Amino acid sequence: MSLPMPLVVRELPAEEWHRLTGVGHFADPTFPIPSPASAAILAVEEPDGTIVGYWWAFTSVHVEPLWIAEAHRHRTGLVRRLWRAMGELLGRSGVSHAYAIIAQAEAPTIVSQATRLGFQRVPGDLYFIRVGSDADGPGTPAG
Amino acid sequence: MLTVRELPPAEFSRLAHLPIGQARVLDPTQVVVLVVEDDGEIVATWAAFSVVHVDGLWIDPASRQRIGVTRRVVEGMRAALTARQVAEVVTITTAPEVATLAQKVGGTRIPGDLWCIRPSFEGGPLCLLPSRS
Repeated sequence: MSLPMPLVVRELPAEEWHRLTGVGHFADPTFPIPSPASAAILAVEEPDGTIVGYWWAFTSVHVEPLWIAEAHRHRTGLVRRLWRAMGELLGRSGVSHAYAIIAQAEAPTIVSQATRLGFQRVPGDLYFIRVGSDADGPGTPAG
Repeated sequence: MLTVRELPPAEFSRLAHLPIGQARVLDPTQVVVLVVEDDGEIVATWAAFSVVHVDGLWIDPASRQRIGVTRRVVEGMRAALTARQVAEVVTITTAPEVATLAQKVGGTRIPGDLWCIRPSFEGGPLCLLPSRS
């Protein structure tokens, strides 16, 4: 019986990101490879270099929280003016996408406004993680 | 009369009594705040700031059972983030196994949803995130 050779886990240099084409999510040609300017990609490789896994981190811009004083919440055009100013600000900074977390408690009032402005809900459950934290116990060496 | 403008950091003290001033540390190197003023009184705020997302975890099905692969990927990502002095991240997932992983590394569920927009108001594909990350 022979044991499998250990997998290599390493941060993939930007000049190698093209190797992700056709792998995993990137088998879908409409799925963009992240920009090296705002992302880092970790690759899992077989000893022969075949990519068998990856995970990436990217910096994004969040636009939140939106707050409007109670007395002004029904003022026509206020949110749209604020969004136009925000859109211009982000556009000047070269931001192509922006995100917002809408808390469940705010959803009844915010979601309809967000939808009208063009926000789309991203499916899935959100988690906040402190990088230094680790609730996991000692692990098994990689095989 | 309503005016909309970017609030200079020198005026951030005016936000202290508002929800935004209580919800987060207003570090002017990390956040931009737009305000709507009505005759000088702030009646609306909206902030923009950077957040690091960790998304798109994918392991080839044939390699998923390899002993320790997930732990090594987690350790590798932690090292990459630490090297960049990133202290906090968010992740979004539709995959139960990634949710379990997020919890195992100390993640806490955010009671809300992630929304996305293209500020340029242009058409085209919107806000692509992997469906199983």
